[in-house]
Amino acid sequence: MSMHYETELQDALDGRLDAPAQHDIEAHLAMCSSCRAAYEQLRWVKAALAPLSEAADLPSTLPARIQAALDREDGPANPPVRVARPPAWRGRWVAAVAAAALVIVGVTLLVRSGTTRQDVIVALADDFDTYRASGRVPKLATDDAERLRSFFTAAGLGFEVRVLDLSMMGYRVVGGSLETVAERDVAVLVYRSDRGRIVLCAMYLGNAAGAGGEVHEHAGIRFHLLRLAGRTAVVWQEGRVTCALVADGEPQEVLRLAIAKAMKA
Amino acid sequence: MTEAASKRARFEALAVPLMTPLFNGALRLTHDRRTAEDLVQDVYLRAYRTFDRFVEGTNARAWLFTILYSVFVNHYRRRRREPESLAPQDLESALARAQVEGPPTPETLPTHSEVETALADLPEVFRAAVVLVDLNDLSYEEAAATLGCKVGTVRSRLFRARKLLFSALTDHARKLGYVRRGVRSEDPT
Repeated sequence: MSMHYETELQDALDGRLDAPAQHDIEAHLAMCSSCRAAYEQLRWVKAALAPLSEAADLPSTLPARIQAALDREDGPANPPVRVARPPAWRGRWVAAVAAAALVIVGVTLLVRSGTTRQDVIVALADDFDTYRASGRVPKLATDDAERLRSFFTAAGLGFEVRVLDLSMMGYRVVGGSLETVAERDVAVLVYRSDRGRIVLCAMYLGNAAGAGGEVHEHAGIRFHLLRLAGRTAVVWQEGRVTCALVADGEPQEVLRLAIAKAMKA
Repeated sequence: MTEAASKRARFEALAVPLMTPLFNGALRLTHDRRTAEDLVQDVYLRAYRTFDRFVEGTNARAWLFTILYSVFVNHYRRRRREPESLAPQDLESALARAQVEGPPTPETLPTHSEVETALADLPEVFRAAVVLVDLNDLSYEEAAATLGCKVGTVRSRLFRARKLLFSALTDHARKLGYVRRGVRSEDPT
């Protein structure tokens, strides 16, 4: 069997033949054991390679590092930040996150003078607007809850991020971002509905007691409901972690959503 | 939204979801995680700078892999002394071994790490064809544009790469005792 003919077997395997040629090859394969063996070899290799295409091996710090590089590229307003590259992996992570944090905190301080706890919620409401209006994509765009948990764990937040399942309400998670707001690391999960509506869920080390707003108590948990110019934030505490949902639905609807999810904590 | 912010949002929407396949591709070219990270960061910066030239509606994955391969060849490959191809006698020997053997059964598919190792051992030009076509679903035409070669060259490299992988993986399987020689017995002809 010539090499030329063998590559035609490969064309058949890769779906590159037109219908008559594909039919001819298939008819030949039914008759010829040696060609069928050659074809099966190619198919076996292709099957062996298939799992590699799904390998999810992204270093958790790379998105933030690239984000920081793009920020530097974008911003004459942002002072250039040199990302040091010491040999140790840990050192690289610290440098990358530090660079990203410098840029983000710098921008935050330009916009706001205060760094009180409630600023986190205000910043989340701003984030909500950009996700809703511009189709902004989270830094880690995935609907894989395990990947999102790993992403946040690797970032060294100091607590485990709970990826809430909002599918019963018609929202699915589309990704997550690590934000630095008011000098805190905030894990932000982004949910979208089929109609394009957005819900943000944020978690950070803090204390919800100072969030203000209307307080609603349910099953021993105090929920703070804040109305923010057409958006609603509901804030509550789970152990050391402050949780917040931001959405643009009816305030009571957002509150019910928070109660449903907090109860399952 | 400013024009710059709009560009950034459009770029991120297009390019961020492809970061994992790009990193995996970079890792398979460089064999080193740190170098692969540097390479991918370079790719994103260069892609962002030339984003105005990207034609919306075309294959973003092919576009980014073209940048990746170009940056790799021009700035990273020089750091390694890797042969681009097998010596002719080695290639013929491997192809001849594959020629006389039927495939193992599907149940004996190699493990993920065995395939990664066999892939890593391929000459770079063959490995690149596999990474683009088999692992990233690029067409032969897109892979040819990425690699800067003819479609027929991609076809030929891919064929040889698959044969070499078959040979390498079944050599390993044979050592473990679960590959037999010859065409499968259920063959009626």
